Amino acid sequence: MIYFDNAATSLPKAPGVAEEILKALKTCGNGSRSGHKPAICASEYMYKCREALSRMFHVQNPENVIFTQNATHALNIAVKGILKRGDHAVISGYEHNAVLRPIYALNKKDAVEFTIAAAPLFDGDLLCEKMEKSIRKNTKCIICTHVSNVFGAIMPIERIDSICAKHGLIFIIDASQSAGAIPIDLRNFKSDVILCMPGHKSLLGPQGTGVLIVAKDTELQTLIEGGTGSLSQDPNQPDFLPDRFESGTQNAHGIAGLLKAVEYVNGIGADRIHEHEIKLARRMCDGLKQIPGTKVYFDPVFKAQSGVISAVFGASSEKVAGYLSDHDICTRAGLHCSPLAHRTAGTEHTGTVRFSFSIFNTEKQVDTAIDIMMKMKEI
Amino acid sequence: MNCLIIFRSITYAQKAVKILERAGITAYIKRPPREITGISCSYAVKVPSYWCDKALALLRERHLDYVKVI
Repeated sequence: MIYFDNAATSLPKAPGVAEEILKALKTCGNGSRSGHKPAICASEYMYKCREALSRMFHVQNPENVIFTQNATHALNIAVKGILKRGDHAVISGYEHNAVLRPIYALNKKDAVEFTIAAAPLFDGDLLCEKMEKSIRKNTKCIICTHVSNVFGAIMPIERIDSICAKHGLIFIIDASQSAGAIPIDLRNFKSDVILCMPGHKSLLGPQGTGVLIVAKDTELQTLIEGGTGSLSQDPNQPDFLPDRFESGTQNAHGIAGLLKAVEYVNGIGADRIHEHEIKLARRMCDGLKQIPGTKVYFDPVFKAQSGVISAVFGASSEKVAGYLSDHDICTRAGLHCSPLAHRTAGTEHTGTVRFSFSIFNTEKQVDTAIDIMMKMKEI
Repeated sequence: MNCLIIFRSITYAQKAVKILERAGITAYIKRPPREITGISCSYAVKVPSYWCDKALALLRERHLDYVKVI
């Protein structure tokens, strides 16, 4: 099997993740609840994972690293935690439904306004210009994906950060496709950044894990309240991190696996992972361009390109993905939960076939896939 | 004899232990009884008494808030 659907979830996971989860399942109690060994075991996994993530993203305080169920959960906390009735947000034209749907719901429920700063693919200059022009008196934040989950386009988040800092806005970054695959150093950011990511994509960890990093002391309303194992006699939700956003039993087993994965990724380095994935993306592009009737979406100079590539073929995207699946090549077809991205890029009616790589994919696998696609006849 | 440095949550107790261990002070996390802390569901970092002053100074230096010291 050749797995090119790492933008959906990474496969395989980092070495040792499954074993660590199994070990945690057999030894961990409920972290932050008791003082006995199994409870401390769970708490230890969680704290070490906070530390490992702090190192990865250069966060000063591990308590600013909050565990969530996934990136969507983290983004909902961020978006709904910040935006109130009458506020305004600016979003890019490439946002996933994990951003668009919460904003849409807030728009309907609380009259939160939003502007979509839509710019052509890989045009960071125009994106920044449109974002800044969209700022109003009631703008509270800019929300931007770091990397488009459809086209792999890397957004200029450092420049958007400068815009946010200049206008006193909060910056919510969806790092779903970049965390672990592209270096992110939060020391370089000047605005109030909130970074959201899943544990199960380029961090190479298990599903059911996600991370929300509040880089500074940004005030966020809670999405849920409940037991935190701290200050139990107080009916108010704790106002300190991470407890404020970690109600209920945390997924310590999953976090144990995530710790193993993050240590693995830290060991290689996101810069080297990015270099590897770009090499594969370039090779795939070169191959896809040889297939008659195919349009490939990529950055011609490969500067703003990640290891995610989309293409439109002569046949429907679902048929092509089906053909590839019959040959044991895993891709994703359709709108990728990002109708906005497709609308902005002009692929809403066709959808695309998406190829997304990880550190475990090889050039040989890309060549094999291209050979099989070259043999595609009328499907 | 030991001193107990009381924290609001386990995350802060864990952070304290790391700070103290890096400075060569052995510290352990315990669940302290409510009768002595006055608050329920807190975590204590247990430190030998002769290290207490130094431990507190280190934690203050690192801006790590504790609830009280017993």
